Amino acid sequence: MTSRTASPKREPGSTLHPETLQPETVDPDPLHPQTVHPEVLAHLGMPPPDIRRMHVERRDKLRTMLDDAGIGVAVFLGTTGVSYVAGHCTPPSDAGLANHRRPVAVLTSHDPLPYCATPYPDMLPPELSGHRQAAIPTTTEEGALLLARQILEWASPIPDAIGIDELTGALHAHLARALSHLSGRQISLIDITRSLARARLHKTDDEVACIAVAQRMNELAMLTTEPLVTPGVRQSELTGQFLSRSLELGCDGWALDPIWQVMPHSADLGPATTHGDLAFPLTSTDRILRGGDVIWVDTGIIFQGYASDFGRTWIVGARNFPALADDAYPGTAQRRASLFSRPTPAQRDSFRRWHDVLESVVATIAPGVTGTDLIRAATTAYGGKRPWPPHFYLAHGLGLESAEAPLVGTDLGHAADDSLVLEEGMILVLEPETWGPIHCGYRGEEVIAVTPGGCRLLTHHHYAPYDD
Amino acid sequence: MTTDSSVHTSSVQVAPSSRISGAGEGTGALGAAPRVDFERLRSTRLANVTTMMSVHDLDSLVLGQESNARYATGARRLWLSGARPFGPGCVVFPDGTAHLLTTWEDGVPASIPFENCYGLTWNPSILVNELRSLAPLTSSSRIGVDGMSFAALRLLSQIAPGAELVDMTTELYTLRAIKIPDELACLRTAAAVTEGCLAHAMTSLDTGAGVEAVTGRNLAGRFMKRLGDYGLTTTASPGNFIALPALSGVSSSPFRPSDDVWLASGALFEGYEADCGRTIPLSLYDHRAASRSNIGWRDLYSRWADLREAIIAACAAGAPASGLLLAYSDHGVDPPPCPVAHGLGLGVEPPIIGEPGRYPAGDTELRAGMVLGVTAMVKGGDHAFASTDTVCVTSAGGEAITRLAFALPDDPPADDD
Repeated sequence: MTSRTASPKREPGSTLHPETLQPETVDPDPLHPQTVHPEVLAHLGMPPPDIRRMHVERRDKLRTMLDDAGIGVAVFLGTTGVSYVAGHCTPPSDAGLANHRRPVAVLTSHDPLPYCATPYPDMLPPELSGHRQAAIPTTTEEGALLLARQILEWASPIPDAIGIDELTGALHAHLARALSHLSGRQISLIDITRSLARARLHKTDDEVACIAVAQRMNELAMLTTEPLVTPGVRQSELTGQFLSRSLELGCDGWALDPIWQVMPHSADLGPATTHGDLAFPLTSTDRILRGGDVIWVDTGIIFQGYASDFGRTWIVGARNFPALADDAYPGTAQRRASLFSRPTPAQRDSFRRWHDVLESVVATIAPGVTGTDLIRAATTAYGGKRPWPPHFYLAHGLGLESAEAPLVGTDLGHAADDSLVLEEGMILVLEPETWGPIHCGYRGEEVIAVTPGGCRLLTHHHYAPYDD
Repeated sequence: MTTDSSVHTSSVQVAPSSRISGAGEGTGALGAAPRVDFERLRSTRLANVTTMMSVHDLDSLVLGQESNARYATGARRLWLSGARPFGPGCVVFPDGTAHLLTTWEDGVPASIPFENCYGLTWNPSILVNELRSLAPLTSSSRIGVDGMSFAALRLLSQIAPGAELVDMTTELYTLRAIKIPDELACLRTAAAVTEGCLAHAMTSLDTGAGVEAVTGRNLAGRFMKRLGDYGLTTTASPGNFIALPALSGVSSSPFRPSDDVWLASGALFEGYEADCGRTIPLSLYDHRAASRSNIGWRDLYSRWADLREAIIAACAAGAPASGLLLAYSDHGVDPPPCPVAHGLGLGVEPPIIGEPGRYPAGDTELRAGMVLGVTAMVKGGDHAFASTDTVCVTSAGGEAITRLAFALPDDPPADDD
């Protein structure tokens, strides 16, 4: 988001922290056509998100969950927690930067709005402009003392127990002690991850729309990446093209290093795994892709904190990707025309089996259905076997994290799958896979929102070159 | 910590082969001699970790931060964005044996037998069983950690009941702060890559023509594309491509002809981050006289150059970190509203040097072998000029390993005042 106002003049002798002197957020519209490419919203298939309303509804929901748990004052330092409670869009970054530029939010019982100490004042919604403070380091003892002082200043009266969603080594060692010392009372810290997870489990309509926006950006960016999937391209070049276009379309960053994994023709080719099944996802490198390589793609980009999840299978050099306007990427048409790879009958068959699994599970999804029901639908369609590897799942949730609750078919076991009952507002990402020797199988991901009458797909991407 | 400094000194004495430096910076392998001796890099880092463990009498070390796990083992695992809750991603024992959380051998250095890897699981009881099979962990009386979470507290209390958990976050940062020569080689490569990507992004600004259509998002995109050409995929963040005086963010609206465009980012090479930031004052490229700014460019530019020189010189071994802030006040410049410097290595690390009271790194003594990302910014009138450089701390002052030129027009700007 751009700030275009001049920097406020610093008063002589001002003792304010410089970070509180940042200009106000000027562009109040996160969906401004300059930020989000118009094509993203044009094909959204639902009303665009109302970001302000989303902030209010999330806060109300979280307040209810915390009240249920008897928590008056809650401290948030996890990226997802701060985002959820304060609408703070922390720029996605490497862990080193994130650890040292970490916003902290505090929700009290006397104020519906949270307070936020942030190194990114521009990333707070305008309604919190009176509730912000300079960043507080969370990795040092000094930072723990500063935070304790700040919590006591914001949260009055102070309860005996303060909720917190995450710890650092320094906060674990010093925060409770500092709070007790400064207040002259014994104050303990309580884990609120469950309350936060409960609130996040069901998405509001605006959260669903944010996910749809991220997904749409992801898919549009893929349309400009697919033509590059020709012999000789490097995995890293696909990353460059994909992220470059994602940025232009309006994403805030990415949840993971994009995956373009070349699948082995035989399980013996490795790499070795702890469970003996296939390895996925492997980190991308400068690997040069060869004609006919089967590529499993997995990416997630971020909009307003919400992640997309894109999964498809490609064949390097296949010419069946949908045509693009040649003026957008000059030369790609010629490159495609010189290529010859097409899916073999066995590859088409593996895709059809994958698609059968998908259709079977999608037809099952509705409120009241259990995780076990989904697993049964998938395994029945796949000849009694589980079409996913032991370290993963048939489905996972999606939201402020690229994989979150609910999880279906994990090593948590049958009891967990039995106890998961689908409800309206849950998001599921189905990601079955049908790997086999020689044909290398198909893996794709479909993002699905559970609706009162069943479900709706948020993924609208083609299956080329497998589905013609 | 006096005991620790001996560790660092001994590790710094590993001399790089002259053949390595002769190869220059690049991301590819070379048959005759590697640019970076990764085997030596790994073994030296691990030796530093085990020495630290013995100094602190630790029976085991449980690491959750990816940068620490990478420092100890060299493991290359999937890059995920953001700060993550602490969990046992890596376990190290005093004899240098390391165990890694990974389901596959890809990205695991040959020095770690794959039998020492435990797979990804969603089930805490499976993880507990995996870790319980590590006898030295269950019998530990002192376990070093680099973070903590409620879940990990429950987990560790089941695996090693009664063990004392010792927060080693600061000690690990202290250890990592002093770079060994092979780490410096990685950082130099990262610096060259960052510069190359920035230079590529700048080409869409350097004519002045059509600049009205260019946004920060375009520049950030060009940076990432060039990074892919180098065979790399990860950066510290999407970068900062915005009109000064804002220093962070990627702008969505087209730049204006009077904007001073700030381009700053940090590419990662084998996990090592080198930051570079440069300013392109668009008004200097706009040949339509009417829109040329009438600020004293020569003055602004020379104030910035003096500040940059001073702040780099302040990166001297034995000097206090607060010297960097002093460089600002000596030049009569208000520091920007963010840290003016921070450590660099396997990502951003301490010291974080900024506002006293918030980032209390002022007392930190800079030591030879540290690497800092330092920012110099001056303002004047409606304009600003800024730079970020990656700087090695040496006894002779700072040595900037970023050296991207400031692409000002050949025609020196005439001051109108």
